[in-house]
Amino acid sequence: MKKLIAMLLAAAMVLSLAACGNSGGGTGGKTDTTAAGFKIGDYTWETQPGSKKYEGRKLRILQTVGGGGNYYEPAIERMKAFYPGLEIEYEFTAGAADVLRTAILDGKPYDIYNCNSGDLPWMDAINQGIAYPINSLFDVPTLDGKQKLGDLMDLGLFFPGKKGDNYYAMVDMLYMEGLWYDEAWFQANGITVPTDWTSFQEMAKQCDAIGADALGACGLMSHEYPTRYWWFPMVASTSYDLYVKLQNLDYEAWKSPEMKRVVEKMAWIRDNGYYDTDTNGLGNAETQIEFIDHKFAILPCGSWLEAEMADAWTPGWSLKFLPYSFGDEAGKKYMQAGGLGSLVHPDTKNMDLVCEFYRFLFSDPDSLKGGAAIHTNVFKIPGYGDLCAEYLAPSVKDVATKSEDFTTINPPCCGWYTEIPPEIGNMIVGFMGGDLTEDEFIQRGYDLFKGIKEDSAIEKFEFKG
Amino acid sequence: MNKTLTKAQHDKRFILAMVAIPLFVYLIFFLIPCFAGLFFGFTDFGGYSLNVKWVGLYNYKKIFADHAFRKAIVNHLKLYLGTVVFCFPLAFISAIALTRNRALKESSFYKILFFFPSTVPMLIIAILWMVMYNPSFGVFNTFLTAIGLQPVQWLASSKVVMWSVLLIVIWRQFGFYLVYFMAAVSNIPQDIYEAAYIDGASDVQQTFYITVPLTWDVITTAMLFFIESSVTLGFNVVYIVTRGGPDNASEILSSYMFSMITENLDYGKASAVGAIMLLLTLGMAFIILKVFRRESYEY
Repeated sequence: MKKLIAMLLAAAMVLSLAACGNSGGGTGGKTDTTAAGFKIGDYTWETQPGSKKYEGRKLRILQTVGGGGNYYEPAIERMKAFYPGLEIEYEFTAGAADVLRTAILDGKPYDIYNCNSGDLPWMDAINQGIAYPINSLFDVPTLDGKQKLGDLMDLGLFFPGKKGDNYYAMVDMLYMEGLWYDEAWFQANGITVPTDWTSFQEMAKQCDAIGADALGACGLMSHEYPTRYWWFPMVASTSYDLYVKLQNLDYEAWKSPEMKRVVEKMAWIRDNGYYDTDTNGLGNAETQIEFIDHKFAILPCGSWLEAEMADAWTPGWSLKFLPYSFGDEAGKKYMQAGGLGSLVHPDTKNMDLVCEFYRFLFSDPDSLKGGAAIHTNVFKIPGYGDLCAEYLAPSVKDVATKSEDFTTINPPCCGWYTEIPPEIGNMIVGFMGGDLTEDEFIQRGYDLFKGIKEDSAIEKFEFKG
Repeated sequence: MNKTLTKAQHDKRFILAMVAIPLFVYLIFFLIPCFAGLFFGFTDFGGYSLNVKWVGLYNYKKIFADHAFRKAIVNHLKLYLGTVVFCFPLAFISAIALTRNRALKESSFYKILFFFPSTVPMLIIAILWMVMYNPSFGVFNTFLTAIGLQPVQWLASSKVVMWSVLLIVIWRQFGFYLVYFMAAVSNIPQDIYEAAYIDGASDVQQTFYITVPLTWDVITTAMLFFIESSVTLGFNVVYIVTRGGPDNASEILSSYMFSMITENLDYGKASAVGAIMLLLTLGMAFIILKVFRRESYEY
């Protein structure tokens, strides 16, 4: 009997692994253009409309449904128009990460995939061996042949997708992240728009006087909204040095005077009743409803907000963006921003087509404008603000041009160590809801970072600021 | 050699063939995933690549060191016990009232009315309750404010949120168990009650000395059944309505497991949580069968 059970268990294990195994190769192609073998220098980059050099070939692209919409489509359509006979299988779907998982485990990975970084963090994809280094893509010439794609890129944005000397994530759309408010409501109530902590305190008092809270943030997605768009920027604008230390898991920084200042700011907002604690239990849409209803004045979010709520504003609303900007001791200016990005699967046999796609996406004016018309956001390449000005969301238009003066950053520790955003989100909700004291908040952060730092099984990364 | 099958042999082959099909399906869709899950609990499986590394008990050590996991276990048990304590007696008493009260002509109507929530998709119910719990425009706070009471943070307060979740689960399950218990109570022959009545037994005595003993197996089965329901139903409610928050105050094991996948991208740890859930479920089932084992009455 024991033997029989052992045999059954073994058979089950083998079958389960076999069922999940690779059942075939990637997409086919006439030329050997595998990711590993493709040479940028050997390739003819003339892009003539009507060229049949890719006839019979097929490129597969997966893009998630997110705040950015199907902004790949204009580039895909342009590429198909340029290269008759080229087939592009484009899947724009919700939950792309699940679709991708099935495709990869079935041995049919997409050549290019763009998943919500919350569903598949770039570093996770890199560590699982499903992303190919894209350094060579930076050497691909633009469509007009005058520059290389790498010349257009702000590599600060690409940092969260960098491992060793290799970049893996192609950031192809930029969301500016910060605080949002209704300019018309501020003006009507004589409330001063805050620009620093002192003016924020003044604003909070003014809001309180008319029965509104100063701040609210979606608690059901606390790992994202309060954590990434409020708390980390607040840390950086309080002390950039502290921000850098946190990225490098310096857990002692949690007990530093700088962190004490951060927590004191939170406590000031909470203890004076300036935080809309109702939002601790609300989802994204409900939080936005509270925001529209002026239950609170400032909403931490990304610049997809305008597109996401396009038809939801009540009459008279005038959404304005208040970016976080802060500098380090050397006077360098930073702006908090997040990027949507795509990755290339290492098993692709269409590396030449992958390169072509990015050429169109980044350097074809019609594709750029078409993309902007869909996502209404920014891409941080020179001249983008002017080229696509008419398509940008009103709330980000001003900042779009200014963003070229800033180095964009996003807390990389959130992508490197997936335990951090959920736990910090929980801590923020717990603290702002009155369940945690200042010391408990600091101790939990200390324990979290110490636990990760001392866990030898977790790969560590370095942020140099 | 006589190739003619005897009837017994023929029957045996037929039975084997009939058993083989569901057994095969059970193997492919239940046993293999189950064992694969147990296996992945000892690996660093990330969901996208089968190049997994054996990590031994690492996932289990990390889970047990996590304060959120400890909250999830406590909440999981709270959800189960809370439903059993509040929902089952309520459903049982209602079942007796609706079944034994012959003067009540609308018994079938009430049966349908109370069963209705069980037929509505959980997503719709969860959204409905989210709206009712809304601190600004929800019906509960509107009512509390109207009668001069302070509004309650139904989902944002760590002290209240688990009760809010429990209320949804009880509301959803009440009708199902009502119908289930009604079926059991109505199967008890009327002449037993009549004999008790003639002997002077009151309604309460009839309930405790006839109805409860004769439906005891059904009650035990319902409790066993709800072990599974508490996992799936609890997950649906928690995931949609609270996401386990605030600060893990409404986290249960299944939502904790899911967040391991969706927020931490850690399928290895999620698989380990699944294994713990399996053990917990088996343990609870064992305890229920041991504690509630009684002599069965035939009638």
